[in-house]
Amino acid sequence: MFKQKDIFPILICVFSLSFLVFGSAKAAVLYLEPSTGEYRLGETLIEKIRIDTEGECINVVGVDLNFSQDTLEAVDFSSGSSILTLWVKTPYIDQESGLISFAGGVAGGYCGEIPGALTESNLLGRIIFKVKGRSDLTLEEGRFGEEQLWARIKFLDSTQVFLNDGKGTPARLTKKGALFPISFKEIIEEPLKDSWQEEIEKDNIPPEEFSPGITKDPSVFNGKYFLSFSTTDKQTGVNYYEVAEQKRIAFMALGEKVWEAALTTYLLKDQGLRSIVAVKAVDKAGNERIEVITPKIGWQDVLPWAILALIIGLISRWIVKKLKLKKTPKKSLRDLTGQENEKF
Amino acid sequence: MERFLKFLLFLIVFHFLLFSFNSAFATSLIHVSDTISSSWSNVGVDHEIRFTVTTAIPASGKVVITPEDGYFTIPSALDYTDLDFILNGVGKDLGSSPTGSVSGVEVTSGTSGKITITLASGLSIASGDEILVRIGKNAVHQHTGDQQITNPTVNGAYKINIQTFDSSLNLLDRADAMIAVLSPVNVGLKVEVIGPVCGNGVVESGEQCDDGNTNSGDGCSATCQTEAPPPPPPTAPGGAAPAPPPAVPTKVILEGWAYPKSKVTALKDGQIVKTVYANSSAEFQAEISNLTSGTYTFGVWSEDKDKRRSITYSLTFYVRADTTTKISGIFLPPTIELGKEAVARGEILDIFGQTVPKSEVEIRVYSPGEEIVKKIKANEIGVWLLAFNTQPLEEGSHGVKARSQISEETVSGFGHILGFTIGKPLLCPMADLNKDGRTDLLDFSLLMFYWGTSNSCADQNQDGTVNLLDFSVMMYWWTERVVEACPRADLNKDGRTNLFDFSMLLYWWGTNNACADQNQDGTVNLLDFSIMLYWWTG
Repeated sequence: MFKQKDIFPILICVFSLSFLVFGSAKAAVLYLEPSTGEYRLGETLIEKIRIDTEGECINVVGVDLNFSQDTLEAVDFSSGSSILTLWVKTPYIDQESGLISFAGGVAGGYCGEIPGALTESNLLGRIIFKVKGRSDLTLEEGRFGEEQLWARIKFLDSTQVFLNDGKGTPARLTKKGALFPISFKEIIEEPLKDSWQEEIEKDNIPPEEFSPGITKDPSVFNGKYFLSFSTTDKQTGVNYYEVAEQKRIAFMALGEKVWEAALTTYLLKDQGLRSIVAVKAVDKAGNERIEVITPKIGWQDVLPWAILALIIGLISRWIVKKLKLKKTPKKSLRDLTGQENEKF
Repeated sequence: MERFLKFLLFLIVFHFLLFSFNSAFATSLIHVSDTISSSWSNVGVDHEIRFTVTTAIPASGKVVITPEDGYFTIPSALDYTDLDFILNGVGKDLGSSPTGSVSGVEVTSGTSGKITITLASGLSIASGDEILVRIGKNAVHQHTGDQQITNPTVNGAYKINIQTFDSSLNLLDRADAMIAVLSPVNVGLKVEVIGPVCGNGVVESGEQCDDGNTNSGDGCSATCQTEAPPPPPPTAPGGAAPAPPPAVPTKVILEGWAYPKSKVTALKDGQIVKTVYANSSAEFQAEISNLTSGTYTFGVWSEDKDKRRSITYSLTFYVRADTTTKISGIFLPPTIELGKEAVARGEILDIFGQTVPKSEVEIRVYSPGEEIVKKIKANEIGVWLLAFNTQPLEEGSHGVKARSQISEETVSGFGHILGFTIGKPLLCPMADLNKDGRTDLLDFSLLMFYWGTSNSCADQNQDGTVNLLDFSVMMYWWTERVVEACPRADLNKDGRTNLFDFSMLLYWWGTNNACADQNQDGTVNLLDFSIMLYWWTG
């Protein structure tokens, strides 16, 4: 019925049919919450990025999102309570091109929610949007005009998820974006709540405790010592890190700490490792967690004090001696005089 | 162009036929779904089957539910008490046989079973009516179910067929609901939360009030804190205010099985927070405190007596403040090692490791197109050894993995997958043709020199010719042996994969550093990060 060359379309159709049939096979699902609903101009929209691994264990997620930059303004990104604990690409917002991207991972992998566990635990991050109007549309036009404004958020094709299989296998992925109509109604009647600001005001818990470490390796930073650290914040998320190296003499720190912005890796200035190293993690609400590495007391620390003590000792001895010398001749002279008197 | 038009025409005809085929059954049930309480393989689960009828089912008609033949098991004890039949949201009475008002349920048990619901003689279902059938412990109308259909033992997508018939057994509607069956990731885990539960109506530690709901604005907030104006404090009979109940510390207890007397390392968000020792029965318990409310990822790994490392067992869940969350049933898979990575066909391959004493170890040898399953018992100290006869295996690459079972319900997941090859003993193993301990350009030059010949050293797959297959083998080892320089993403070679290695990975990000580029694709990228996180020790 079909010639050999017609086998190609048949194969295509069989393939497309098999895709239809098996299209529902397991694949990690990246989705946004909320994905529908109506938002008012000026309203804060907290968009949660979630993952359903569908029984697979994954360990790395790299997300690239596109949003309607004319109707949405991305004002912040929160990693609070994210399952991602290590970030290779910290969240980056480009309002001009409507892009948000980040990449992070879960050490040991994430295999989905545990049956019986409390609340949802599949959050990757939250984007805080402010709903805004379109520059070419006046408020009046928007409120009374027929043109409906939309806000769209979608995952780009470059979004990737990797399986926790030790081979870096990309997971099959289903991506679900979000589309919201923008409402101009009730803009005046009811004051708008800034739920993100409220959340920030409520957060009084600092980031989690962490243990920074110092190491060196011939292959990086020309074999110089560097600092590694990372922590999480379960509420609003870590905002930034700072590092301070503080000179000291033995047990005494010298001067004030001078904080410098840092990422999770920091090349130490004091390669002699004699300084106190402090790492500060600050969350979105400004709560701070400071961890300090105090170097062990070495002979270098003790030596100046020992020299100082020696000098002081010597000086004291010299003074005492001098004092004695000053006193002794008078006494001796008197004694001598006495002796001499007695003698003579 | 003609060919394209022909193809297009074919596509149109094909899709027309496809849809015609679907509609050839006169009608198909719509909005069909089957929600199961667990996707895990080989476990009893509740089914919630929903569909909308397109052809009316007359009185005494039938609804037949048939799980895919040979995969699901319907227990013989399952009967009408384990079913709910809900029509447009209203539960209909069920019995063992149909009457005027009661619909009858007939169950054919076994792996080729089916469930037939015969409508009561006074009950008919109209087109557009929505039907929900609950099967299992989720059945609550009239009786509470206690029997469940068992999921298939093998992972995959399965059909649940639903058909409707009239009283003369003429087919009216049909449809298939698809469900997925997966390997359990967290088998046998038990989650226990000790502490206050806001909204249960009982004022517990950490709560200022509990009005039985989690609504704010009603005097008691969603987190059970009093909202202004505060209610007057309760007064004890003696006039003294009652002392507040002691607060439960926010902590997590992880317990389960590792290896006898092994050191068990617990991680919190990738950082080591606790090390404990398992007892001689391999049981361990790790308590982690200093936590706040939020989502945490806890990991557990261990090393057996011969320093073979387990996988990192990872758990992500929400920790509530002032509660103790106890996760029990963590079962680290057995450690596994091979006596050799390459054996001749028929040679005995030792596969061994350690697990929970006297547990049953299931070893699966993967071969192209088949899987060989062997079961053995671990000894008193958990050591297990399988002398595997490789005779049934074809020459080529194979994989092996293992899991343990203490009881019917307590089964570990699979651990690391190891690979081995079967073939004639190689003269130059790992494509190291010049035997300098490396597989590199020099070996490639030698391979090119021997190209097309039968050189037994270069002929890696022993097929009599040095060809592309041997080049492929060389490429495999090229990667593997370079990675051997920094195995397990331990970039600074301190025996751990932790933040230091992460720092180094970031340092080399985007470059082609051979050590950080774990998969040797020429760039240090997310794939290498993924490999690092797999091997993470904290």
